Amino acid sequence: MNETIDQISSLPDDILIHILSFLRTREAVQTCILSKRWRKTWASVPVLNFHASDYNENEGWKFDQFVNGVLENRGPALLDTIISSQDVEDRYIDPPPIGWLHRATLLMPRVISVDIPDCYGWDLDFPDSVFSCASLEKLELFYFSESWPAFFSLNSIALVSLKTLVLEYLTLHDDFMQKLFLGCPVLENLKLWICELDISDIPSNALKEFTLDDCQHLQPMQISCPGLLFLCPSHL
Amino acid sequence: MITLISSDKRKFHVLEEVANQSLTIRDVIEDRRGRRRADRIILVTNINSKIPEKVIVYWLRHFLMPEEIAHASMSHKKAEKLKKWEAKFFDTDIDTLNDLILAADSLDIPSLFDGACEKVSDILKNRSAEEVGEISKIENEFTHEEEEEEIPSENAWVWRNEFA
Repeated sequence: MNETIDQISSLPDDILIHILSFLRTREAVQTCILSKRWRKTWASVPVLNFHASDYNENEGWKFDQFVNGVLENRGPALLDTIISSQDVEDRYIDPPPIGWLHRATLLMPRVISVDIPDCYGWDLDFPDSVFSCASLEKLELFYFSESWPAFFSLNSIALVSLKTLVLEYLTLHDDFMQKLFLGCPVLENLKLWICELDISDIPSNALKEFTLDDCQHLQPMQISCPGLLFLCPSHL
Repeated sequence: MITLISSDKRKFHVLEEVANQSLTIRDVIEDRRGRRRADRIILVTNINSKIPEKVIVYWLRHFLMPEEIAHASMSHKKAEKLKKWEAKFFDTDIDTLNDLILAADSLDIPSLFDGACEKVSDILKNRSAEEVGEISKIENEFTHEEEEEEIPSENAWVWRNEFA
């Protein structure tokens, strides 16, 4: 085992950083004690990958402290991807506050993929900065709840680079769709999973792929997308 | 057909379309286009002889299934098959993985680079704090003093919150 670590250590820095980007952030940070060589390597990894399932019940505060520790100590490295996974099915964990996402978004990531904690019927508490992040190319929001899908509305959307958007278990209205297509001029790929859709029109010139999986339609929906190449409807 | 020559002077003949998966080689061929046949020989001197064989096997497998096609319309079954094949391909010793990473880096073969890096990352995965600590203790790069003083202060937040 020790020899193996020595051999990995012989690789150049940028490759070590790339290797660490495949790990969860918790695992990447642990490598700081392997040797001098590794002490600060994790701080340059362009991926933040947090998993609530790494923590026990009522350890939500620990999760939060770890996330803040990472943000404070990771140094000025570029950020490419933010992943935050709840990924807990058989036990309950205090949902970690999502506030840290605001701080991380200011580092201009290219990809954000987060599980949103159950808001029990209240409005989703989600940082606005995510919806005005100019560098963002891919955004995935997965909501999970014991009860109804969460009502999703936003004051404004300005995601000039966004190409792919995936939304799960949310209630979406016409107002949201209009803001979305106005604010995301290059959105090519839209995936809606088990969403409740109160939408009359999908108007987009840029959209190429549109996937609806297990969605519920509250009214007939027209798709006005001349550039569409791939359409996968929920019910045929 | 182009010819790759490794550091120990072994020759490897490959179809141009296959070797094009290396963006470095593709650029070299593009630069030399229209010139003499001898220019279709490419020295890969920084790579030892065992590696070109592996790289070419990887190329051939992927040449049969280009990634653009793989992405859009590859059937689930075929994707599973390729995944299984890759798992086997990367199931090798750390020396070979290191060499593959360096080769994929210099030849600019992104999927091979990512695949090998991910495999190496598995070695660091799912280790308890005790295990990681054990490894660092065996390694003598840290002096005793550093072990006691410096690391805990510099990365104190990790220890306090995570592993204490």
